Amino acid sequence: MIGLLASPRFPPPEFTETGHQLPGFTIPLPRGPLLEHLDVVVLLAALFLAAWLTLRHRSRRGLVALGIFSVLYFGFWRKGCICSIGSIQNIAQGLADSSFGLPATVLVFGLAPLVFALLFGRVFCSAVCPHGALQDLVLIKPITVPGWLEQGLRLIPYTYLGLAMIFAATGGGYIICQYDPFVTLFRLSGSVLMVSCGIGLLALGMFVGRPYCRFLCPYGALLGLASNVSKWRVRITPDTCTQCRLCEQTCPFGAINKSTVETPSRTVTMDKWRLAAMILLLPVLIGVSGWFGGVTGKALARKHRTVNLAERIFERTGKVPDTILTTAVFRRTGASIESLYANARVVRDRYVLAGRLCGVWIALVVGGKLITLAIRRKRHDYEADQTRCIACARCFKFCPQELQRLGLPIPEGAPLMPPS
Amino acid sequence: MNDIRRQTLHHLALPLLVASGLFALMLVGLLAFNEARGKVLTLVNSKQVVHLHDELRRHPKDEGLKVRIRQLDLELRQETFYRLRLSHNASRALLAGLVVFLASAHLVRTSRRRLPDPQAWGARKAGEEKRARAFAQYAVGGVFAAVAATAVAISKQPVNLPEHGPTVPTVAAEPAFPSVEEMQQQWPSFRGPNGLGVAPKAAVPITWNANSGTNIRWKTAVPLHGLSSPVVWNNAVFLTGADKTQSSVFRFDADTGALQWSATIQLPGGARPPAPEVNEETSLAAPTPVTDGRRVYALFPTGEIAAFDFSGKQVWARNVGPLDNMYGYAASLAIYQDRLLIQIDRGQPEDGQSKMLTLDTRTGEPRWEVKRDVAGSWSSPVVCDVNGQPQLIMCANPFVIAYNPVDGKELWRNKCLENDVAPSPILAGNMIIAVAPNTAVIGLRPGATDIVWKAEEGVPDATSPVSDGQRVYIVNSEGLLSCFNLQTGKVVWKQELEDTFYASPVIAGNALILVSRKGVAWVLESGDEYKELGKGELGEECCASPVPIGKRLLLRGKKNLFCIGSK
Repeated sequence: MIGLLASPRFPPPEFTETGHQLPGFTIPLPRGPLLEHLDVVVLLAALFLAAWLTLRHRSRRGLVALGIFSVLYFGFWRKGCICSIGSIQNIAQGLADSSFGLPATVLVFGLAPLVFALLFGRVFCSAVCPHGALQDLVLIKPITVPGWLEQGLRLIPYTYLGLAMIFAATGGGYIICQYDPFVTLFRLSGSVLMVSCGIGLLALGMFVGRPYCRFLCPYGALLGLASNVSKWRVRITPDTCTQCRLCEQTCPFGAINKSTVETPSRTVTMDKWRLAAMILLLPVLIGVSGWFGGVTGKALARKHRTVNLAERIFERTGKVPDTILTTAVFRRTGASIESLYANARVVRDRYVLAGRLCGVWIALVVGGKLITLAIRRKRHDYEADQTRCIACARCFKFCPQELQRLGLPIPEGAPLMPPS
Repeated sequence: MNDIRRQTLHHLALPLLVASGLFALMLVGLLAFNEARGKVLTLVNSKQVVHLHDELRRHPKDEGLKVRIRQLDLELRQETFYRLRLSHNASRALLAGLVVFLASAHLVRTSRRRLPDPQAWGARKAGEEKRARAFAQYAVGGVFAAVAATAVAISKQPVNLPEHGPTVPTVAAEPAFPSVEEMQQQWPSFRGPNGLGVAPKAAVPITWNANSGTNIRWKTAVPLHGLSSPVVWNNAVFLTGADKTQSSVFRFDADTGALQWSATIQLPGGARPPAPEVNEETSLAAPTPVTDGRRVYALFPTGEIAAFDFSGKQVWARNVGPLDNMYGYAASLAIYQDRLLIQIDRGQPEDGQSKMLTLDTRTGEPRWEVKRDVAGSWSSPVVCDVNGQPQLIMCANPFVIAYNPVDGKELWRNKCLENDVAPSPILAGNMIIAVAPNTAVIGLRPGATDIVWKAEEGVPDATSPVSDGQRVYIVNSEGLLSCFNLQTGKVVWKQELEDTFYASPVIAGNALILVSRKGVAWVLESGDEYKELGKGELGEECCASPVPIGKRLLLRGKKNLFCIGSK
């Protein structure tokens, strides 16, 4: 019934004489206003439920059920669009281009999970995001990714985020959506490449927990930053950590920080030198990366249709022949080529600026990570890493204190009080 | 879970896991094969089709060849659709198989799950964190190096553009749309800036006669019939006309009246929509065009809408039809910044056919669309400034509705109209004046639900009101001219003009100008008393609204466009 309210903005032509039937759409149609509002309500309700299941009820089963619902509703029924991950591009374009109309629904989809991350951690990732939930459901036999590799690969989402913002803000396209590996699965149609990527990631995800969320998702990177300062956090134990180590290897996402072992004093001194070196390196890194980002942005500008067309029209280089339809069409319009070049130069300069900002962003992320790694932290308990923990609740039932809380049998020899 | 239950679960789930895994693998193979087959057997790739087409070029009258091509074409299309159906069904079956596979895999895994044994891992060593952090720093450095290497590879191919020439683009140098002040100096749309019908600085002749040539600066024949009014931007005068076969825009020189160009809309694809049945009194070119100084935009009852640059070259065109309604579509275009605003009211409110559509002036692409629960109307939309906020006001039975012209959000509405609404609203002295034809002239405050005043005498059915800021002037079709107090709605004076009127009155300076259907014009002084300043004679029928601009008055007659002014 509600589905009937969704309709194309303009009715398709009717071929009354020939009786020709237009083929169906391969991409989802715009949703009717009622359905858009329903989506927002469902999103907010799911976020509240995920927060409650994670922090209050501490129920893994509840989260699995919510995850299945999210895959079915946000994934297969809504065809994965719009999603919170992609919505940050709309927001970026809206911020960069005052004439761009940003729908309120998209804004809510982009900001609500961030607000929840600021309050409750990454509850969106736990079971509301259909991409994450789908990967969570296929995880069968997790293997541990070495911590050092994990730390390195987790830089990729920040780089991806920077690139996506460049392209969205300059009108170059929404690359997060173009290269979304799972949306083709939700729609059961798409290019062979993206379907293969989706299937490949899911196959990998049977053994490596949530590979897209951890090593690619740009929105996850943002949520990770937000959840760092979250008011209410996921705690492995409901009481006091007894350092029984039962949870040590339970997280398939490498998001448990172990308690620290006492460090010799010489190491502490060396760490200070390393920290000082990293802090001094940061401005250099920002300068070099920012400059280089500008140079790269100049090349990335080719992705913009105006620049691409201007470059193709610019035959004198001899590198790009004027043989494609777009250039032929442009020439037929009789529009000024000089004007096209001038427009293209303006767009290219925007890319240079955006590239510089992206370079600075990447330098800040890398520099920040190196400084963080140089800081020695004392940790008494086993804790969920606030950036990396996606609040899946897997670790809860490995804690003897949690088992005691639930009235379940406690493993033999597991301490219920912390060592003195 | 006890051990017996675990074992039972394991024994049940394991065969299911193997079977569903094999089933899924088989379907993946089938899909891959189907996809590969699709790459070969398509209409586009078929060498046989290409060969047969080559043959046909050599023997164009070979009927047998044509039959073979059609047969092959049909077979390949059927094959394609069969392949698509197979792919569609197989992917759903694969999905079902994967669900079973995953469920059974989780059951198998759960049935074997044991709590970890930390003692078997041995004691943790001092220094392991430091090593881990050092390795992590190397890994971070490594990934950064990989990103940098990729960036180097990309930046080796910078965009190649000519660096000379204008540093500021010629298009970008001119803003996408004119300022409000620029618009105020022109006559860009139906009834001028903001649809008020007022040119406060204009000083037009008060007498003229087309037969004797008195004060007729020029007179030019209009190539096609229409009731639309002229719009003016500097020296360019634009007008529209149409017949059963074409919808055209004309540009005239404001100084000489020379027809500078005539352009006919060419929709993409070439086919023109069929012309709807319209009243002769409405014509196939009733909507007045609009211009922003960059382009001129014209809409016709056929649904054709197009933008032409000032040299007459079509920039874009599209079909927004059907626009069929009783009498014929007549609403003129309005413009706000870079948005073209189209009021399409058809049928009855419950039909759901009425809407407001906005197109991008540069591309013609839709910006937003709003459904309107109103009946068909012939009134034109107006954009006006209400306390610093732009409001798009539209009238149709039964509502006066204001929208935000930026995003189409409804700001307020007032249920005060009835009948077939043709007069357009105006904003004067913070008062909206709307007309319920043959029933009442209504004064209401923007945003308020209460009606301030209602006058029920001399109510028109076609013409729109005009105001000098203190009074409202209205002439009805039968020639009863009424002057109301703007704030109270009380009748100030009335005068029978003994003629019939379709053209809406305008005010130029302090002169109120009315032109009858016979082409007779009354030039009156706007004030608290009826005072005739002069009269004009066009010599032919006139239904279009007069256009006062500077020291000239443009009038569209049945056959000619007249410029009233000294030579």
